[in-house]
Amino acid sequence: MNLRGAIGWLLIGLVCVACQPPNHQALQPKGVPPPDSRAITIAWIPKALNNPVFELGREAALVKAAELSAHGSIPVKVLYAASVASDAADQVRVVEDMIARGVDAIAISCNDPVACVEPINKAVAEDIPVLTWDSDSPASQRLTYVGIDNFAAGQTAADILARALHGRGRIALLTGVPGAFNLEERIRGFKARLGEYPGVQIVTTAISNDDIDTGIQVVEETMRAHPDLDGWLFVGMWPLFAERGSMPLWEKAVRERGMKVVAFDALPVELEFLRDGYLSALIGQKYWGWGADSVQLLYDHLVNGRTYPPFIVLPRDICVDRENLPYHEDTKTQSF
Amino acid sequence: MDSGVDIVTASNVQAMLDAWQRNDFTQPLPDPFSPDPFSGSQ
Repeated sequence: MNLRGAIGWLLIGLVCVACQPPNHQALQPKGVPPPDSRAITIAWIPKALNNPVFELGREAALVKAAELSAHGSIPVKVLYAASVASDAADQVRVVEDMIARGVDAIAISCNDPVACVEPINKAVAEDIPVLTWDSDSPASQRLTYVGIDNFAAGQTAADILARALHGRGRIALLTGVPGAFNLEERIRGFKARLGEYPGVQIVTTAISNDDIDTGIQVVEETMRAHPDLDGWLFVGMWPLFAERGSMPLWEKAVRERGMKVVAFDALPVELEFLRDGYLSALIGQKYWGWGADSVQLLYDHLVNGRTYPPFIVLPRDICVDRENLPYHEDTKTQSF
Repeated sequence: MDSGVDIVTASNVQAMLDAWQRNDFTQPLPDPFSPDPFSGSQ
């Protein structure tokens, strides 16, 4: 067993206090046992715990659960659960543990669309609806997917990078864990649209495995192998989480040769890179919606029987006042 | 089709930084291509 497996995975849970008693009648059609103190428990599962891109979504899920508990008819709990690093097999075990715990619903960003099928279908067979967010498992029996249209977003990235390059240049791609549906769709859309820009050529694709240090390493290795590179598409923001100066060859190419870089996500650390001229453009997602909307959609499905189309593009995010978040004092961590 | 993404360039990066500062992402960002952030670069 590797270190990750030995450590196991972490579960961060939170109990949101309800204002009103549970509505057992509403839960019964979904097959959920109706003990007197029953609350709705939603497992919110990102790809990994070590990727900061999921933090705002986690926060949003907890805030939405508190809001629903305060104003709805049934108390809502969110269990935040994931493997330490992005790993499809570890994530399957996380889902199976959530099923064993008897959660009422699951919201998950899948590391691998195929590996997710069996555990998702197992959950659905046990009357546990599953919603995917960020990274889909379209062949599974999930209720719906919420997030961006990753294929279209890849096309947009191609348009922007080609525009920044004025239609000519040799570029590299940086991706995360091969096979992740969201990343593969972005690359598929990017390559499809790049066919309209014959002057832009992809020379290599580097793989970070969703790891910050690996991302730094492969970007620098690529810069050594292709010192005249004109551009990059970062399909995720992994190496940009490191402090400035971590990728000296990459930074030098931007500063001295005007290399162009388009990256996915638009977190503050990336915005600072962009403001300082290291990035040409960012493709941002609805991080708040990953958490808030997934919890709301599952709640409405469980309580009100709502159904959804198979694919939901998130609209603008909602407002959040972090200073008034109701859950910080109650947050606790378990590891096993 | 709306792909649901926010496009951020040098032309609207300050608006996105302000959104994070306020924790308010409800307002649409300014046009990322006005002025054209790539007009002077080769």
